[in-house]
Amino acid sequence: MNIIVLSLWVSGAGTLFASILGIALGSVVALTDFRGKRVVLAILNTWMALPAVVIGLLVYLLLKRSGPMGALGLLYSPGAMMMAQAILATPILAVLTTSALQEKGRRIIDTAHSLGAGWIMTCMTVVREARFAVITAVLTGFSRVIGETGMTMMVGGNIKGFTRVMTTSIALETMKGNFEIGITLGVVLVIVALIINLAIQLVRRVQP
Amino acid sequence: MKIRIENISKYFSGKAALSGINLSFEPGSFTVLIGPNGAGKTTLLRVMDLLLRPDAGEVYYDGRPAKGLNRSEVIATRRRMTFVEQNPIVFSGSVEWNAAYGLRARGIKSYEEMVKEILKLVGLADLAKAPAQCLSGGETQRLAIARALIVDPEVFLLDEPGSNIDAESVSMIFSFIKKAISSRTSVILVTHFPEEYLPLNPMAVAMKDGRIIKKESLAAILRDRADTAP
Repeated sequence: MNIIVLSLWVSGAGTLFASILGIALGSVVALTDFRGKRVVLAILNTWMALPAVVIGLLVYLLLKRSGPMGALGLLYSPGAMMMAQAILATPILAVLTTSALQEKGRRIIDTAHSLGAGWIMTCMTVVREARFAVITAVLTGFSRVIGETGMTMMVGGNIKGFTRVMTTSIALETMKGNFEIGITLGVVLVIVALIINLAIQLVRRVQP
Repeated sequence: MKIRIENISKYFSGKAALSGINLSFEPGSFTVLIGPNGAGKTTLLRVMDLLLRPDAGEVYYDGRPAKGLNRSEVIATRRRMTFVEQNPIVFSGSVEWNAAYGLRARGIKSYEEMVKEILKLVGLADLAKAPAQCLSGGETQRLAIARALIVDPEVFLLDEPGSNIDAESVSMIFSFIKKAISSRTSVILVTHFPEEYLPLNPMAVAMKDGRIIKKESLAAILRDRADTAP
């Protein structure tokens, strides 16, 4: 049970950090014109295509004792796993937010402005209009990180009762030949994935 | 509000959408902008509504240059105008919620009666509670006109308001314009069918390739057109 709760907690927090950064980044890219916009988009797309283990390696190098953030002592802790998962999900959220806002975002802003809305009301209108797409982006990011194994193991260490989550536990139990536990956790993971996908479908259905 | 446009130009990807435009609109005046697609009519309305900044020249609102306006003054100036786009978008929410958007933007809290009245005027009273994004093209256009009219603007900018609507709605727009002019609201309207507005005796500005090619009464322009027609 602890494993399931820890998985949801780590991936939930990782997705939350990624949402804050990714949605803000995606909104800026979609709604503003600036020099180097294409470069930023190319970086985001490349970042999204990075294999998770490469992100795991980078986070490991950052957090290891002699690394630039080694003094934080985060390696092999849930914090390290959250950080890696946030880095993994951020470009997904940024790119999905960009594509959601790029098409209609500018027109929403112009319509709000021409009706006399100030900046706060305009921002609230954009968020309101894009809410279904943003929720879908967040759920997509969450489903991506909760299923991640290699990267999570690299920075979390798969320590029993501390950093062992569903995916790393399945890998370990399977290697030990404990297929029953592996299958049970696998079923739980499938159920979580199913719930997320049903939620995405529901959000898309609600969207007018 | 008096709007004076002084020598403005606007470029998109190096191509001039507006080039050296000089115009002036007095309170209560009615002007139609005519010309082929790509003439710069919509761009001109967007510049006037402070949605686009000209690359050169200046627009003056009651003598104040747009460049000299700070952020809150830009919002305050926009609140004296409304702009109905050719293909307007409506926000998610009910028809009445959309109709009241401009009033909420102006901090008006008690607007139920005003919304009822305006929706009745544009023939959407029965759809007040319906989701605005489920309206037809013509109904959306009427809602856009309603939410523009409800704020009682000093300047009313309309971009081809008759393009998505039936004859009955066109006559409705005609009567709104007539009423607006009589209450000193300036109306600037882009249309491909200027003949419909001839009874209101508007000024006409004919544009082509971002330039003004003629500026005189609509009657005179239509007469010239008839004279030169084969």
